[in-house]
Amino acid sequence: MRVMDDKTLPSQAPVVAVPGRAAPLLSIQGVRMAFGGIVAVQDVSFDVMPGTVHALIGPNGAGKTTMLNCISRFYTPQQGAMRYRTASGDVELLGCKAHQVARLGIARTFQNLELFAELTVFDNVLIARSMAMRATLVEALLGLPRQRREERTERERVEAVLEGLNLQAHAHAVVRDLPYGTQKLVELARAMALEPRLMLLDEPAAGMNNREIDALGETLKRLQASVQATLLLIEHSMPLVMSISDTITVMHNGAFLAQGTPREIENHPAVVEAYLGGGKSGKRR
Amino acid sequence: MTKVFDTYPWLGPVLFVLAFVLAPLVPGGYVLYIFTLVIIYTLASFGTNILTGYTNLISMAGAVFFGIGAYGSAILTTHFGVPLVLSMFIAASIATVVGLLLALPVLRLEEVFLAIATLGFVMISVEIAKSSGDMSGGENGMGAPGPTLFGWALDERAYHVFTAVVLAGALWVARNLARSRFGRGFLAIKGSETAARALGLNTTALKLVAFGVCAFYTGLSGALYAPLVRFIDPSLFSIMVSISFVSMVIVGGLGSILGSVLGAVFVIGAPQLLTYLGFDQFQRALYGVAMILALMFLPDGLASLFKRKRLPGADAAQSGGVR
Repeated sequence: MRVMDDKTLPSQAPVVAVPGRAAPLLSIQGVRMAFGGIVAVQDVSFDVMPGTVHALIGPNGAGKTTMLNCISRFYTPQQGAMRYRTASGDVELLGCKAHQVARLGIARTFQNLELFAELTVFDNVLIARSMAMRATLVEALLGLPRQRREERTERERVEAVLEGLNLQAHAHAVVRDLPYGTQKLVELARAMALEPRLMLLDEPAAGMNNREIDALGETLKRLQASVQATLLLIEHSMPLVMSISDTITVMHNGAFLAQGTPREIENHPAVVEAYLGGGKSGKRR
Repeated sequence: MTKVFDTYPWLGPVLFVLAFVLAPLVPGGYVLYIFTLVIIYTLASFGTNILTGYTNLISMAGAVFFGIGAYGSAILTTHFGVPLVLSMFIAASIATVVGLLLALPVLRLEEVFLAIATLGFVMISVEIAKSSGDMSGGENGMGAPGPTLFGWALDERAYHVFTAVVLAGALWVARNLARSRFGRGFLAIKGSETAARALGLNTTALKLVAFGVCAFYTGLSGALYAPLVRFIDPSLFSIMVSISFVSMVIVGGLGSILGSVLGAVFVIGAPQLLTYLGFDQFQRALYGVAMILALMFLPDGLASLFKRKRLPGADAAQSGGVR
């Protein structure tokens, strides 16, 4: 285990497979996050396996977004551990700052878009390429060769990312002027541009209609296959979750409720009860 | 008007050079002095714009950097025999170091809280300047030697061109900065600090860079100011100086190079023009009214009169701007 320093870059090397059972990419152990007296996440543990689509579901207020904010280190949990596997060993995310988590290859999107609304789509994505740039401040101020070279390469990279999400046509549009669905794609493009190994998606389908959701499902599957990233997503659209997930973790009232394949979760009594409010089972006090 | 500037991107700079650099050389004297002043203040306006217009950090510490630049250059030339150009560079560097040190404790503050906290630095610095020893003359201030370049004394016209060359260099560097990951990082912080961090940007380091660049530019502005006026005193560290820098950027247009220039023209030029027109008595009041009117009718700054062009680096500008 090691603590990140600023210079450390996320490694692009694939996770070394352990014979027999694969080791988890991310291991959440006993995480507890309270705001004052309100416990938002209580003793939650689960593993995210490399190369999978892992959904985090649960009723509103279950603590899913809080969990995501803990992983990306916008929040600091009071208890627990979050081990993240890299090519050069495990990293405890609790010892990282938010920007260091991103540099480890953990990208995320937000429930309510966090875009640079006044900038163009191109600039939004280009900003995500910052950490691939090595030119120092002095090189940047004087426009020295390495600065110019990097600028060229990264601009080409951005073109490629935009192409992958069919956003080329909007490249030079200001984000604020774009429809909501396109803005969501821009946020996805920006996360993709980090070349992440783990993507945290907070309700990627929110506000989309059924047709858009289908298209999003296709896009996510295609992206995951092409970059071999692991997806951890929070989602309320059950058709989407059921169609793309390998594993589903269910949270309820801040606690871990169940985990399994889509089929297992669909028929899990505790999950059904949590979603339907336990009306039929007569457990009301 | 807007279209003309979009079609001919070189027109703006050419007009600026004609109107602000070359034309004032003809009459010389007081008119030239005012234009030299505008050029010098434009430099501080640039620095403030990088911090406020780009990064959305409102700092009232401008006077501290300006004063350090002016005093630093004057003390180095008078007491240590340092050549003027070198003294300017050293003084601006000292301002940068001070800027970084001041920024460290207040970086967590945002918006108006940052403004008030940095105001405290101005109050402290003016007291330090007043109670300082023989070297800077304490409350009485000190004389600053006139401009020289490689041992040659510069007359008012030569010094005017000299300041214009410095401004051009500063502009070029600012443009490079804006088109780098640093400049885009500033814009990212302004857009959404949360997103910036999620994309791996070290926002604390970026804010420090913004503070440092602002302090350097403002310090350089002060260092150019001292040889022009040839006398400096602790009033340089007044809150009004800080306010004038911030007003230049806000009246001129946040995040716009043209705005930085127009802001400096307005803040320095308007009071002079009013005096010239004989409104001596009500000069300050009319200036205040003019500022209110400018903000009422041009909330995006004077620059929006011409175009809504962002500082380079924002992609909109590179791909032709207004569409």
